[in-house]
Amino acid sequence: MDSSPGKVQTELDRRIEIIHTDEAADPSRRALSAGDLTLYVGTTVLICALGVLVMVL
Amino acid sequence: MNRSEDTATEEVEHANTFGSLPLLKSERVWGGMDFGWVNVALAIATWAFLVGGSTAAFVGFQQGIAAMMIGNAVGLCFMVLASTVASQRYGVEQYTILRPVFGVAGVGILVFTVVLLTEMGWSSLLGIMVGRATSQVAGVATEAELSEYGPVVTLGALAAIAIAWFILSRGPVTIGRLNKYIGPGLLIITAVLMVLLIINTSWGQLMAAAPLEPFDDPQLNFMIAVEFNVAVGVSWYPVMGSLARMTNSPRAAIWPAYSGLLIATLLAQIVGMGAALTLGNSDPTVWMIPFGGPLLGAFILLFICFANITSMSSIVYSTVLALRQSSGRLLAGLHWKWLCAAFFVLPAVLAFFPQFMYERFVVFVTLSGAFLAPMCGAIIVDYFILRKQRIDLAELYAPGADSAYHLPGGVNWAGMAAVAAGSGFYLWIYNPVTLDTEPAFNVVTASLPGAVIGGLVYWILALVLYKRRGAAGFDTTDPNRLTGNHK
Repeated sequence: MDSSPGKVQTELDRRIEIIHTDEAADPSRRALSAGDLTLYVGTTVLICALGVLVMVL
Repeated sequence: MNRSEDTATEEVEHANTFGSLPLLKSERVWGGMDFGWVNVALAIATWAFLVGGSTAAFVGFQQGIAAMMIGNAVGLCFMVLASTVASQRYGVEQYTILRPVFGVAGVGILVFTVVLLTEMGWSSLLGIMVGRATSQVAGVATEAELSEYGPVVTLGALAAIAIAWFILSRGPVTIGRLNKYIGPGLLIITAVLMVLLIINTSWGQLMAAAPLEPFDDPQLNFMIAVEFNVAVGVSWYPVMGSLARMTNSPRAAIWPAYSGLLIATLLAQIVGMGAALTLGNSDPTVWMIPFGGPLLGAFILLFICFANITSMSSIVYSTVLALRQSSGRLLAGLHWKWLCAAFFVLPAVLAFFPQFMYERFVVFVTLSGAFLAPMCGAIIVDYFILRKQRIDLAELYAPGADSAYHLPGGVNWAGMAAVAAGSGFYLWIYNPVTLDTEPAFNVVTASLPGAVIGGLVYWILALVLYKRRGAAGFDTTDPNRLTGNHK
């Protein structure tokens, strides 16, 4: 911990250990998949295309 | 429990409340809907109406809607990826998780310059809007002719800053409670204003309305409107990660951040633009009363004043958190409420110059985008491409040279060079102060290529300077685990 040694450091170590072990496989700690990212960027492209359509029509 | 145990527990709770510790699963309580409302509440402050009105300076209604859709979609797309994803996965405050990209001192430099000035600017603008709204309502109530930038505006802005400081000094719980009511309230008000827009004008009138202050070149007008809206999307960067770490899944972070901000912003901006085009003024505090009538208009203005104050509290909370995290021991001993008070000094000074801030609104937003966009580019390349979405938490929190992410002087020069190159390119292709542009601006705008250049420069320099030597934490992350043990 940067500035608060002692109890806070102990708590930090405990949390990192829990995240590393108990929660490592939890869905909340999942990385974004290639599919997630493609869908996300694709949505942006679609909204931009709609924007162009609004301008053209 | 004895006194020393009490103090120790308080210390841990304080550290957790103010972002010093990674959040555990049980503490990440926001689902997609919760986070969505938070974003709606943030997006529909008076600034969204003002952005809509300012867009009307360059383009008409149809082109304005297109510019807002494209600009916000692009800006939010890379801002959300850069700010929310890593903070959500690890539950870590967003400026702590930037340490691998810019270094501990590098993050401090960016937070104390780009982020601090951006958020101070937004805070003073929100305060001045409250002052302007107060002046309008007072004018209607007393039937007095009050000056557009007179002492009532300054007094109203100072009062808004004082109230925001009071809310902020009570911590994040009070802010969260207020946002629960503000978000839906603002959405209802926007819907009411949308109905008033339809009643007060006709479709033909809206479509035929000319932009307020356009340049001669229609394509340049459209691209400036797009760029302005990209910058608005990117300008959410300083606050989003610290909010997203409260969410309980990656999808509950990125989609509500993206869609909540996009939809709410678009709705409010369209209302602001429509009103500005038909009433000839981009400032919502000016058009709200003629638009809604003295009673309804004044009520809406007062509600929006309150919403502005809570928005101010939210963005300042995240920024002051960032200042604490980035200052090392420098600000750690300073009491939270005094740190918040120190933040408000410059916005309070600017409240005495309301015309200066208001007339430079577009310049301020685009200038902040010039620096935030390349930051986002570098962060995306670092997290998604070079580190493959893995950060070693123990190394992230390890002090000084004990951390694998530590670099000499505490600066990741690849990250700093990326921001310099991207923002340099931005200011070359589009100067927000003089509005001079290079021909390429009419095709690619400035923020998106600024972010791409920032990302490319970071990629090349990080590979050359650090990754091939295994420095900056590039050799510590085991691909088979979420985090690593501190060695």
